[in-house]
Amino acid sequence: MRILFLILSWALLLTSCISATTFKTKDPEAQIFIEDSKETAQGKLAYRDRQWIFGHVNVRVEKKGCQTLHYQIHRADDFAPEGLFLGVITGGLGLLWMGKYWGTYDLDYQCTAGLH
Amino acid sequence: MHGRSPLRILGWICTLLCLPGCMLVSIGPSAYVEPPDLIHSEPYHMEFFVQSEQLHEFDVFTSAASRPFVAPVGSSMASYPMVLEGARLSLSSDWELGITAAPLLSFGGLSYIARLAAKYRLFGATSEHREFTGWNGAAYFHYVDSRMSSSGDQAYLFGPGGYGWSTNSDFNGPSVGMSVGYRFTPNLEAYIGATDEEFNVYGSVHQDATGDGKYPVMNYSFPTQAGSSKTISAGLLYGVRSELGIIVSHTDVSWGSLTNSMTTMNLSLAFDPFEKQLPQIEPLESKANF
Repeated sequence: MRILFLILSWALLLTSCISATTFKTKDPEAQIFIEDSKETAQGKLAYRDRQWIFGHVNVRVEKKGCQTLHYQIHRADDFAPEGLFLGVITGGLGLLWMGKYWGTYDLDYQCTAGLH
Repeated sequence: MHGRSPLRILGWICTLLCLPGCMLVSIGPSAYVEPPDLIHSEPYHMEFFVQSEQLHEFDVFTSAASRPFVAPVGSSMASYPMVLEGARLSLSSDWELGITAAPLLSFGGLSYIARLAAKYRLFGATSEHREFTGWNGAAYFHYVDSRMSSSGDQAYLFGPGGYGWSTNSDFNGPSVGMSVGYRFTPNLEAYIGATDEEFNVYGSVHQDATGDGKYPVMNYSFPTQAGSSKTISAGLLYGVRSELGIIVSHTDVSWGSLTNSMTTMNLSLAFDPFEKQLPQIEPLESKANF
């Protein structure tokens, strides 16, 4: 019984830690990069991680002949109720995953005129 | 000779649990301060929530089953926290309706707490406009209705000569309040507010005639006794799609000659399934890339 509880707790911990989001740019040809990883996509990028509430992800947007812009997205942008629930059953540890990303981030990127 | 059926054993357990505290109570929530933001500017958007609140317990009858009947009490009250559930429904950009409710545990009757709310936006953006930060405020009206019902059959538990009984104890009344908040970022808002509640507590007991003819059918009532509850609250709301509220409240309750004053901290969790309008994310820096 105790083993089953521990397995369920860890399963809940692992699934609760995940936060998924989507990064979008108005310019569909702009290339979105997740820094410190190889993830990249044009115009729209689905992303997920297991960072704690105080973590963040650095995003870079580029387009040939245009400026490169950097963004910092924080895991604490939204409240994750599953983290609070997990915090209650793990004696506070789960509270570190009480944050999650928004569903979608619209990155303010427009190619600056004259740089083409 | 009585058999020891599980139902009879359960009856005895209930009786034993009841013996030290068979007092009949009326239960009602403290005056509640609503958060100042309305959920949506368009009609028929809903938000669901659970929240802890401070309830008051008013002693109404010593025992509904005792014969001869013991006079109504009305001499003490207590308070304790409880989790309530509810929903809010937008009617327009200025009006919102809400209901907060919970079933209550009692033997042999329907017991509940329900609070209806109508909230009016005084100023500021509705909650889905997370791209707007700044001040918002609302005024609201509540009506609370709470009932504790119970019933029993003394014949079942105590054999020949017993009788059936039932009781209702009620708490109801209106309240008005206002709250003002400031949204610092799309996911963080602080607010303060105050609510003034007027309420009535009353109850009734019905006892059947005893099987041995010793007592006839009797009805007793606890006369309406008015009271008031005043609450000031300060709250912090965190989140966008789901919202956590941490609320500190100070409440003064008076009922007849009794008064009670307390400061409490409560939590709320709200879930809004509809999309929020969020700001575009500004870049940290820029550089040319040729």
